[in-house]
Amino acid sequence: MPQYSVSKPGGTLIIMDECGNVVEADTLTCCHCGRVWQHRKGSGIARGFCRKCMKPHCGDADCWECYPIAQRIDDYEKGKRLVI
Amino acid sequence: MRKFFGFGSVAVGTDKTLITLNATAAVRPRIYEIMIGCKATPADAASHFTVGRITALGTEGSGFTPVELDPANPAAIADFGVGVFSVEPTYTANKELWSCSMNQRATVRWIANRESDMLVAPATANNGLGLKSKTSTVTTAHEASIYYEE
Repeated sequence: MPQYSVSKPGGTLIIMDECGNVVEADTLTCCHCGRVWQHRKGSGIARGFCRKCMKPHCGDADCWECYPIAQRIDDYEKGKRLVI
Repeated sequence: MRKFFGFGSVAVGTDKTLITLNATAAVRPRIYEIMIGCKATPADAASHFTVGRITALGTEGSGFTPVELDPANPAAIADFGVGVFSVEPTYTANKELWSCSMNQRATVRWIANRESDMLVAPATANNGLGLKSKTSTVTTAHEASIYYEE
């Protein structure tokens, strides 16, 4: 079990040091911009949860409004958006 | 979905790209696994690696044809850029998708659990995803491996 875990992780980060000690940590993925971050309880970083996507978001200023990553990429490919 | 693998290594430093995954208008490549480690004699030094979106491919040292994990697969549509970039790719500012600071003596591996948690590049020519060392206290060679599907 990862030392830093959440109930529905988006991924796992595994770090092995020179002595072979392994640290595992769950990661979460922003449902709006696709950013991945390591879950760290008590970090003080404000994250959010989208009630439409029912997934966590990274808390970036652009991510508080529901605009799913798939839609952002679609719009970017169609030229409706300059930056994903 | 077909799965592919590629790797690249360079001496790390400030904004030194190790590997890029170059999309095309035909496919959205999705990274589901990243591994980074030092391939030289490691010391107590630190490097900060990020994965970002690229909107211009720069000038790669060489191309790397993605290796099919299933030999029955057709060839990949996307491809990798590796080697020393004479012109660094253009990264979207302040939109890093993945970030990790690590000691040179450590090895880092990240795996996405689901398709919705993978790092996705748009199906747009000259776009893609790049893994670079953003800062580093040394210039030792590091190697990055990327697994992706398309």
